[in-house]
Amino acid sequence: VRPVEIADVRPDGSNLDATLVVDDERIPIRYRASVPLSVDRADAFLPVGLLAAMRTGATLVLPGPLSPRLLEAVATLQDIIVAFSDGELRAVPVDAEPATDVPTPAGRGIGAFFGGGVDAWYTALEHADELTHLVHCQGFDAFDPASARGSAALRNAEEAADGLGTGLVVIDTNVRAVCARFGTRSIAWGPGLATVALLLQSELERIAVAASDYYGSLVPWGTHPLLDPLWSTEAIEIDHDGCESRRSEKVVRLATCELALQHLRVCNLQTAEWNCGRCEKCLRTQATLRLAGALGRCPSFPDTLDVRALSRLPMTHDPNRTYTRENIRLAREVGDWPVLAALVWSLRPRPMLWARRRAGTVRRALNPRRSTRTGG
Amino acid sequence: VSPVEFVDLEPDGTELSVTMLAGGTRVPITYTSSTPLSMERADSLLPVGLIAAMRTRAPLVLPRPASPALLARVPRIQDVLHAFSGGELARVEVEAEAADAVPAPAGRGRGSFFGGGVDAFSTLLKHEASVTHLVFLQGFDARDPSSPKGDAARATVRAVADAMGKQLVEIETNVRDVCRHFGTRTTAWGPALACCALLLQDQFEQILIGATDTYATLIPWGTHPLLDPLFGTEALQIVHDGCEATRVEKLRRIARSQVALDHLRVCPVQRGATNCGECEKCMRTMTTLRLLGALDRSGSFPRTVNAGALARVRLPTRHSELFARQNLRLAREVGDWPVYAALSWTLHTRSKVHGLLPPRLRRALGLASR
Repeated sequence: VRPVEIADVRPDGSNLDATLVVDDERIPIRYRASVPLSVDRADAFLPVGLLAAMRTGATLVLPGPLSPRLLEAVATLQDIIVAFSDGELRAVPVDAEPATDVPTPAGRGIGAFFGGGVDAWYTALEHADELTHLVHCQGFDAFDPASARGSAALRNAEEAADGLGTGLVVIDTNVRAVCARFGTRSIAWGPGLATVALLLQSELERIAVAASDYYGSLVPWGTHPLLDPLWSTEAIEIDHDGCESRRSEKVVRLATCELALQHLRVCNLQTAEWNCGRCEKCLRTQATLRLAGALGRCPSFPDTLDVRALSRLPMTHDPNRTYTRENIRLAREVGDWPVLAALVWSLRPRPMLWARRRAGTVRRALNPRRSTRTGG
Repeated sequence: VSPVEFVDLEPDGTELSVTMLAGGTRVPITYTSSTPLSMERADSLLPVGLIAAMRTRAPLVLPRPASPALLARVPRIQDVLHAFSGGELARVEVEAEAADAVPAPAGRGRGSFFGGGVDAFSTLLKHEASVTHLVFLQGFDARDPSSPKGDAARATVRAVADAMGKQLVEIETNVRDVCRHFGTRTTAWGPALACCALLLQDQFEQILIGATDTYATLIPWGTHPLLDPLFGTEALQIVHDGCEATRVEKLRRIARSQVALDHLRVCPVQRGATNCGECEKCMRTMTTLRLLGALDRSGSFPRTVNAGALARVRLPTRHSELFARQNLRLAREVGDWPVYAALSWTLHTRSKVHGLLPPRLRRALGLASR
C-alpha cells in the first residue's frame, strides 16, 4: 500500500491549501481563516492524515516535523481510534521527526469552538470571564458555508461573540468532509476540530472543545475527554470541556442568559436555516427549555411544545435515550406531567422499528456501500 | 455538618494508622507494609477522605499540606466521582494547604498493582522489561487476609514475583473496606488503590493499574482512564494501563506465558483458596482459555469446561455480558460450535426471556444487568 502523504502545502498567511495523497487519489484540503494560520510544523496535518492512513492501512508520511508531545501521543491516539471505530480503522506507522523547538509565546488568547448549540453555549458561558476568542468553523455544522444555513450560522456566531465581548475567529474549511470520508460515523468531527485547533497555535494557548456527553454516560465518539487532550502540543492545550454537566443541566444554565436564548441553534437538518422545530434534537431541546421555564423566551423555537410529536419520537438508541431520561428527571422535579408522560411514552419498546433496522443492517451487509452519515 | 477530618495520625516507618472522623463516627484506617510508607504530605489521605466527605456532604480537612498538582485536580476528581456515582456522592469543599515542594528524586522504580488476575497479569507481561516492583494489596481481592484465600493469594504473588525476577511490595490494609463503606459499588476500588499508590511515592515514579475495560466499552467505574491519572502528583504518575486490549486479547498474551497460566487467579468467591471453576468469572476465563487452546496448559483451573454448564451461567453485570460477547465472537472465529451455541443461548435467548420480567424482579433474582 502506498503511504498517505500531504503534498503541495501552500501556506499564505490566513489561507492554507494542501493535497492529501491517498493511493492515486489527490484530495484537496482548504482553509480560509480570519487570522494567520500556524504551519511551522506538520501538527495540523496529523489528525486528517492519520484517519486516511488508518482507513487505508498505509504508513502516514508528514511533510515536516511534529510537536514532540503530539508525536508521543500518536500511539495512544491510535489505540483509542481503533477501539472507538470497532476495528474499522487500523493502527499504522507514522513517519515524522520530532521538532527541535516548539515556541510558546506569551500573550496568546484562550478560545472555544462555537457553533451556537447547547454544548458550545454552556462552555462559552462557563468560561466567559477568561475567553478571548470564539472559533467558528464553516463547513462543520453547515456542510455548505455558502448556503442560507451557513450564512445564518456565521451571523449568529458574530452576534454571540459581540454579546460576549470576545473576538471571533472564522475558518472556512472542507476538512470535516475529508475526515468524514475516511473516518467512521463516530470518529470524524473530533479530528476535524483538532486540525483547526492546531492551525491556531500562534493565536491561542488553550482551546475548549465543548463536551457532548456527561462523565456518567460517555460513549465512543470523535470528541471525547480521553481523545481531545491527546491532540495538544507544547504550544496549545486542547480541553474537552463540560463533561461535569448533563445536557439538561446545560440547558437550564442557558435559560439564565438572554443572549444564549436569543442565539441558540441546535438543529442538524441541513435544509433548516435555523431550528426546524420538528426533529428529535429540536423537540428534546424545546422540552428542556419548557421544563426550565424558558421556551417562550427563545425566539428560535416555537413558543409552544408539540407534546404529541415529542411522544412519537423513536427514542430507541443511546445517547438519545440518555437525554430523554435526563428530561424525565427534570420533568418530575418541576411537575410537568404532560411532558413527563410524553417522554416516558417515547421510550416504549418499538419491535417493528427494531425489526426494520435489523433488516436494514442485513441489507447493508449484503450491499456494503459506505454510509454518508457523519458525526463524532 | 461536621467536617471530615483525620486525627491520631501515627506514621511509623512501614506502618501507618490514622482515624478518620466522618459522619459522627471514628473510622480507623491502617496500613502495614513491607517497605517504608511516604507520609510527609497528606496526599494518601485525600482519596479516602474525599469519598467520605462526598458521601456525608461535609467539607474535607486534611491534616498536612498536599501536592499542589493533586489539589488542583480535586474539582475534576469530584466531577467524575459525582457523575460515576449517579449523583450519590456530592461535590464538597476541600481545605488543605499546598505543599511548598514535592521532591521527585530520580532512580525510583516502576510499580504495578498485582493480584494475579487477568488485567494485572496482562499489564505485567506487557511491561515486563520496565516494571521493577509488584505491589500486592491484602484486603482487596481477599477481604480477610488471614483466610485461606488471603494466604493463597500471597503465596501466588510471591511465586510470580520470584519467577519473573521482580521485587515485591506487600501492603495489608482496610482502606478498601472504608472506601466501599462511604463510596458506591462503582467508585470505591480506584480511590482505595490511589491511597496505596500515594503511600509509595518515595519508592516509585510511576505505578500501573491494570484496566478492566477497553476504550470502546468504558463504563463508570472506580478505576478508569479518566480518573486514575488525576490522583497522581508531581512525584508519582498513576497510569491506567491496558484499555487498548479486550479481555480476550489479554488472555491471548497470558496464554503465551506458562508462569501466568500456572498462577492466574480470577475467582471472586471468598470461601475458596483457589479458582472455584464454577462461578461466572471462572467460567468466562476458562472459556477464553479453551478457545485459545490454552486451558489444558493451565495450572490454576480445571482442564475442561462443559458447554452445558456454560449455558446455565448467569450474566448479572454489564461486564459479564460484555465478556460473554467477546467470547462469542472468538468462538465463531475458531469454530468452537458447542461454546458458540451455549453463549448464544445465554446472551440471545435466555436474556430475552428474562427481559420479559419486570426489572425489579429481575434484579431481585440476580438476572438483570447492574
